Amino acid sequence: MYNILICDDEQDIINALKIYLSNPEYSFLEATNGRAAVEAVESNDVHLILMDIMMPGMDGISAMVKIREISNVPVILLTAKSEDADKIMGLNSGADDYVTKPFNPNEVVARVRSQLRRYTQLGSGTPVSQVITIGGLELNDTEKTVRLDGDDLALRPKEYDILKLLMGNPGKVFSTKEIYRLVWKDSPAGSSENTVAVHIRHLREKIEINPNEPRYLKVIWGQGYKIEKDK
Amino acid sequence: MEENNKLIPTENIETAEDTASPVSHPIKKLPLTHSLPAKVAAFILTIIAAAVACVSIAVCAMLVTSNHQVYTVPKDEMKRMMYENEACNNARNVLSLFRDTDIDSPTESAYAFVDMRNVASMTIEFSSDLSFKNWSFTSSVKEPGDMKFTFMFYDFGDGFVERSSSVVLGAKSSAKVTVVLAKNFTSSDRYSMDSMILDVLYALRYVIFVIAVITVIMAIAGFIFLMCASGRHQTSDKPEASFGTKIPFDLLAAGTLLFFGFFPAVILSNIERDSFEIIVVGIFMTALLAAGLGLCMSFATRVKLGGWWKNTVIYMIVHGIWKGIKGLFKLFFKMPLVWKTSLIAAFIFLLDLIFVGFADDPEKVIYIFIRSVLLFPALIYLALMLRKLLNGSKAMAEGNIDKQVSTKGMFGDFKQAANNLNSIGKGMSLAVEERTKSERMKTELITNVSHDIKTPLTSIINYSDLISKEPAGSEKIAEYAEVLHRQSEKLKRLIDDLVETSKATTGNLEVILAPCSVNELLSQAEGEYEQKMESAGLTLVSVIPEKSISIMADGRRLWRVFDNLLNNACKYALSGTRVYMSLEERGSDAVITFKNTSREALNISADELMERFVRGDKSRNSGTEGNGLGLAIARSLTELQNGKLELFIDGDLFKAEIRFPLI
Repeated sequence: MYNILICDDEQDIINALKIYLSNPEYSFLEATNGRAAVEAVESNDVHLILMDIMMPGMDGISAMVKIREISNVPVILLTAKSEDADKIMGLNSGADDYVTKPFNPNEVVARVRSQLRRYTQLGSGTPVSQVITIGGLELNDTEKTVRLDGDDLALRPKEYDILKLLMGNPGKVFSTKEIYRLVWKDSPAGSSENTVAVHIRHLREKIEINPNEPRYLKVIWGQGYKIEKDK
Repeated sequence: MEENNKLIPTENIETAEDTASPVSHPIKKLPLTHSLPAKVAAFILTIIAAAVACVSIAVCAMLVTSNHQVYTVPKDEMKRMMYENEACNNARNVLSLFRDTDIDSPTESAYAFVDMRNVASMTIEFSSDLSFKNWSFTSSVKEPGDMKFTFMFYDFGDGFVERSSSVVLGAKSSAKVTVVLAKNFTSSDRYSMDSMILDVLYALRYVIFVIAVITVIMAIAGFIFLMCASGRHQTSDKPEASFGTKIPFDLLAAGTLLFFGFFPAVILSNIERDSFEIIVVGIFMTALLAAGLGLCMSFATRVKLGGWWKNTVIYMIVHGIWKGIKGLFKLFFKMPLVWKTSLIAAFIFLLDLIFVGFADDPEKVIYIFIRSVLLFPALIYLALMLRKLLNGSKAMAEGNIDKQVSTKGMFGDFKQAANNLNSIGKGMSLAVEERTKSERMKTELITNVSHDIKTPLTSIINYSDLISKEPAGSEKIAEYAEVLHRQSEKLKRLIDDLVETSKATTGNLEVILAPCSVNELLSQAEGEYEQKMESAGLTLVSVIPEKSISIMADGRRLWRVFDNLLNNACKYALSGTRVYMSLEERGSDAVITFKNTSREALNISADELMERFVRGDKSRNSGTEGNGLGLAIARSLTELQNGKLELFIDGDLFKAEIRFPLI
C-alpha cells in the first residue's frame, strides 16, 4: 500500500487525479495548500507527492523545500507553469519530475508508477559491473537486457547498441554521423543519418513516458543526441 | 490557348539566359574594331601610309619650290648638269690631294679616289710653271661614255679655284682637268645616286601629287579607325584597359617622345652624310610615327575608359597635394575641441607677437599684450564648456540617455543648454523605460492569464475525458464529451501558442546562439517526422548536401521553427504528394527550403498568411487542427536568431525559405 499525497488548491483536480489513479494499492491524502502538505508529510508515511505550484498561502516550491528537509519522498510537480525557466527551477529545487497542466492523465499515471517503483523497489541498488544505471534506466550488458523502472524493455539490436553507446558515455553528445560510424561500423553514406534519427525516435518512444519531453534520451538540436548524466 | 503556348518558350529562354547564354544566343558578331589582326594590319598600313605621305609631301614641296625646273628642263640635261657639278667637285678633290703636303704619294691616293667612282678616265694638265707632273687615270674596267667635262682651275695663292672664263688675271698657275664618266654606272656614289633620284623624280613628277593625296587620306582613315578600335577587345563589348594603359600618360608621352625624337636627333647629328643616312632617317622617322600613333591609341583608350587625366603624374601630384591639405584640415577638425581652440588662440597670439615686433607705439604694445592675456583663458573656458555639452549630447545620441551633463562651473547660457539637455535625456529615458515596462507587462499578463486559464481547462479536459469513459446510458453523451475534449485540447494549444507568440514578437525570449550544424538538424527533423508524414499520406524528400553547413543559432528555437513548418505541411499538404526539405549554400547564406502542395487553394498572399491568426484557408473555421500562429512564431523565432523567413506562394505550391548567414 502506497500513500500518495495530492496537493492542489482546486478540489476538482484532486478528485480527477484520484479517479485516474484509483488503484487498490494506492491510498490518497489531500492538501489544498503548501502548509497542509508539509503537515501531512510530517504526520504520515507518504510515498509520493503530486504538488501544484501556484497555491494560496505557501506555494508548492516552498512546501517542497520544507519537505526535503525531513524526507526524500519523490515529488512530481503538477503545474500550469510551462515555461522552461519554471521547469528548471522546479527540478533544481528538488522535484523528481515535472508535468504541466493541462496534463495527459495516462502520462501522470505512468510517471507516478515509475517514481514509486524507483523509490520503493530499486532504492540505491548496488551497481553490478556490466550494468549501467542512469535514473530508472538499467542496461545489463551480460544479459543484453534493458530495464526501465524494473520493467524489461524489448529493444531491437541496433536500438540496444545505440543505447549502450549513449549510456556508456553519459552527458556526451553524439552526432548522427558518429552514431552511424560507431554502431553500424560503417562510414555514413546517403540517407544513413536518417536511419539513425529514426532509430533514436523509436528508442525514445520505448524508454520515455512522454517522448516529446524526454527525461533520458535528449535531442540536442543541430548537434546530436545524448543521455543525461545521473543527478 | 495558342497564346499561352507561345508564352512558355519565351519564358524559358529568359530563365536560361542567366545560366547558359552561349547556348540560347548565337555568338554575337563583333564589329571589326574588336578584332586584333585587323588592328595590327591597320597599324602597319597607317604607319606606311603616313611615312609615304611625309616623303611625298616633302618631294612635292621641293618640286614646287625649285622653280619648276623638273617640269621645264629635260631629264638628260638635268642629269648632265648634276653630273657636271659632281665631276667638278671630284676634280677639286683630286687637285687638293696633290696640294696636300701631308700625303706621301698623292698620285696613288688620287688613283684610289677616282677608281671608287663611276669615272672612266681623268686627266690633269698642270701649267708649266708648276712642279707637278701631268697626271692621268684610265679605268681598266669602266667603259668611257659620252659624258666628258673639262674644268679649268686657277691658283690665286691659296689653292685651286674653278673658273670657266678663258682669261683669268692674276693667276699664278692653272690646271686643266678632263673627266670622262663611265658609260654604265657600276659603283655606288653621287653619280649613281643623282641618276637614280632624277629617274625617280622625273618618273614621279606628276604622279607624286596623287600619291601624296591618297596616302594622306589613307593615313587619316587608318588613324580614325585605330582611334575607334583602341581599347576594344574580342572578349567584351566594353572598352578595357590594356597593359600600357596603367602607365601615367604624361610619363609615357614624355618618355616615348624623348626616346624616339630627341635621342635619334643626337645620333643623326653625328652621322656622316651619305646614302646610308636616308635609311637611318627613314627608320627613325617611321619609329617616331609608330610611337606617336601608339601614344594616340593609348590616349584614345584612356578617354574611352573615362577620367584619363587621373592617370597622369601631374594629376597625381596635384591630387596628392590637395589630399594632403584636406587631410590636414580634417586632422584639425578631428582634434579635441580644447586643442583646436588652443591652436587657434596660439596662432592669434603669434600674430600679435609679430605685430608687436613692428609696432613702435608703446601704448599699442601694452594693449595687445593685455588683450592676449585676457583672450586666451576666455577661449579655453568656452572650449571646455562646449566640450562638456558635446560629450553629453554624444552619449545621448549613442543611446546612453541616462547620462547627465554636470553643470558644475557653468553659468549663463551654457548652464541653460546643459539643463535643457538633461531634461531631454530624462524625458527620453522615462519614455523608453515606460515602453519596455509595458512590453514586459503585456507578456507577463498574457503568461499569467494563461496559467489561470489552464487550471480550469485541466478540469474541463479531465472531466470530459472521464465522462466519455463513464458507462453512461446515452451514446450521445459520449459523443458530446468527445467534442468537449477535442475543443478543450485545441484551446490548450491556442493558449500555449499565444504565450509563445507574445514572447517571440516582443523579444522576451532567451536565445543562446551557438554553432549549429544544419545538416544534423535536418537529419534529426527527418527522423522525427518520417512517421508522422507517412500517416498523413505524405512523402518527405530531404536534400541534404554532403558538405557540412554550420550557422549560429539556438538549436532548440530553430527546431521549433522547423517543427512548426513541418507540422504545417502535415496539416495542410495534399495527401499523396511529396514534401521537400532542402539545404543549400547561396552566397554567404545557408538556405533551408520547405516546399509542399497545399490541400486547399491558397487564395491569399504570403504576407497575409504570415499574419497572426490567418490560416491557409482564409475561412478559419474548417475542421483542420492548428490555429495559424505557427508561421508567425516561426518567423519571430527565426528573426530572434538573426535569420530570415520568407514565404512564397505559387498556385498551390507553398514554399518557406529560411536564410541564415554562414559562420
